Amino acid sequence: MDGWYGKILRVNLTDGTTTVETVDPQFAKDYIGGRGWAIKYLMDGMNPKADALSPENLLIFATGPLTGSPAPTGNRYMVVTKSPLTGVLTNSNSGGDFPTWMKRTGFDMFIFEGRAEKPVYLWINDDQVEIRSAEHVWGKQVPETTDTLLAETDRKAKVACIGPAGERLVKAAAIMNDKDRAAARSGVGAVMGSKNLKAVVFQGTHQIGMADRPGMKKLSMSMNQEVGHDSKTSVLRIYGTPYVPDVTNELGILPTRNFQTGRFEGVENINGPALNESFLIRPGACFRCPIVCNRITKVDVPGYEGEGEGPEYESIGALGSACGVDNLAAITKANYLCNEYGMDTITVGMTIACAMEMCEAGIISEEEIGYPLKFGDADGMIEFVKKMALREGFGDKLAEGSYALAESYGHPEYSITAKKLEFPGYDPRGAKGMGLLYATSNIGASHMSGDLAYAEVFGTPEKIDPLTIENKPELIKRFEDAFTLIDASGLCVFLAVRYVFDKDVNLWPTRLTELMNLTTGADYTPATLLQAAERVFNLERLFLLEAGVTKADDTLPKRMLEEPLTEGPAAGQVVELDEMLPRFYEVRGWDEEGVPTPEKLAELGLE
Amino acid sequence: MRGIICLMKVKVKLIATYRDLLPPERRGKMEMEVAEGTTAVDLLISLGVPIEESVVLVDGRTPDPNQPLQEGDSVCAFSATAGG
Ligand code: SF4
Repeated sequence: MDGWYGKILRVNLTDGTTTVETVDPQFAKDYIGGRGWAIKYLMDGMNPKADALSPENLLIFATGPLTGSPAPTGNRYMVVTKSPLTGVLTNSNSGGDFPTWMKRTGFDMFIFEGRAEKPVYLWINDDQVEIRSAEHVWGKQVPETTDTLLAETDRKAKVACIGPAGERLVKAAAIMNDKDRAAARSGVGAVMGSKNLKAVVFQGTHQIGMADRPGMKKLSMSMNQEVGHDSKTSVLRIYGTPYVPDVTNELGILPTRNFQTGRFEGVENINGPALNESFLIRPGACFRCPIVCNRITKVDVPGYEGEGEGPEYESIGALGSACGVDNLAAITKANYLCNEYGMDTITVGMTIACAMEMCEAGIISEEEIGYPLKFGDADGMIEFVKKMALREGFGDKLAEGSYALAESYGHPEYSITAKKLEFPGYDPRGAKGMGLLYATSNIGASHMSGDLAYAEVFGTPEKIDPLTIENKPELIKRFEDAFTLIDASGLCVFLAVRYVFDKDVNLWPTRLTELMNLTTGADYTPATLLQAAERVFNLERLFLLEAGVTKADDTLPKRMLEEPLTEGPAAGQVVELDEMLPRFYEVRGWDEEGVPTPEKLAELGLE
Repeated sequence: MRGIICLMKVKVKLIATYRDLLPPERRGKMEMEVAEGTTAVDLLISLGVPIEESVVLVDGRTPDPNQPLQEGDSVCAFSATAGG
């Protein structure tokens, strides 16, 4: 097969064996790869009701056909597993170098099952597969773990690992690769920790077969040129995603003090120009990316010293404005700590923000946690990032995520989550499509599941009104399917949304189809590709339903449904979810309870 | 006979790369006086904003392109680009 090796490595951590499995070509095509292949193996290989931290859960690392191809930003992989934070599915995406090296091992996908008795890591050097002891790096932070394992394997290899947070089963734990890139969301690092799998190290020389290599090179080169000449994308090179707080603040949807409001008085201290003037060393890029949006930074402000990557917009929103913190040195330091301990900055920041509000409301007392935690307390925020990572004191409660925290005090309404996953940086009261997305994404409140903010906020591929609900159910279906396609193929969304779909809000994948066909020779059409994405999305929904999700879970926190924003252009607005959800089910071909109809399943070959 | 030109004060905010269109000490923000009947697009074009590839907001909302500005309006523009 071209595009896919058609090979999966199954690693049984309980008995330390590995098995190579081959993939049927029709399956490969029907489920695309990445997130698509993984959900099929997850669904067939485990009980969706199983405890996410039990050996029964499967941890899947999956590349897509475009990962490691010449396509610009073909550098992504997905971690797919059942989430211990949310109790539902997760698929968490990361770039950097590691995914390309993963593909060079000659496998498309890795399935980790069971649980090792003692800490181990997987080392693959082409066809040589070894499960080695990781006891000497257990307890070590991400940078030290990475350096140690590279020194004892091959300095040119690439590492993905967990830090102390994953080892302690912190439900915000991420899987970090290339030190600073993260498959961040939903506690995937805790699943890895529960399996006693500290790291994977990949090196290889395999090259994927390509249906039309010259054609692929030519198209990729012209895309690189197009991106290089596009002044719009240069914003991401110059400022990175930190240009966004100014935009969301203007729209009144910058998460501020646990989403109590959407305007932050300290925004000018935490925006892109502030970062450039104070801490930016240079922009950086994932493998084969012409956009170059990463921020390589260094802080030498006393008390906050450090260096590394970030912060991205989402980290600034969660650790900054959501906590009422406008000290960019402190936010950047907290971001470094999250990377070093291996945690998702969004869940960490939003959980601390939730605790701050509950402290101010007198629900959590200063006596109990031994600290007067308040919005705006930069040092308190940093202190609790550390405590959360190590489960020290009150950090043990924070480590369960904001929903479990708020619920344990009888006040789940303080947790700004959907399906227990913390909101990203767009208040949906001022971007209504995002509200429907958070409520219906298969992993909970993730913008990466179908980021309509591109259109509602950023005017890409075209600007639509963020405050109306008309046509939003239709658009959310389109965006969810398009983002499923991006995740399955192996591209970065920053590139994909702008350059591989037709330039209108319906995201028709003309150029993506071309890239996929040059790579796989699978004769996709835009329609068959989108149908494959829809198949994947529906299979994910079936996993959720079997895990126990019902219509009642397709919802948002009370604050979003009943408490209007009080300032900015979205003042007076709530999310009219009741009006959008029935139409969304209808557009999806689901019944009134949110269950795919037999006709829909038959159409998708899922019966 | 000369007509009376009424001037109105409006606020302008240019985000990210567009900050450079204003003097550096303004840090992307400026109060300006415009003649009655000026639209947000007229004003932004006069500042050098490439309208075709921009998101334009007045008080945080997408304006009707023909709507003249009002005293106290807040005009904002940034490059329509990939999200965060
Ligand atoms: S756009 Fe940014 S995140 Fe995406 S591949 Fe390029 S550098 Fe990485």
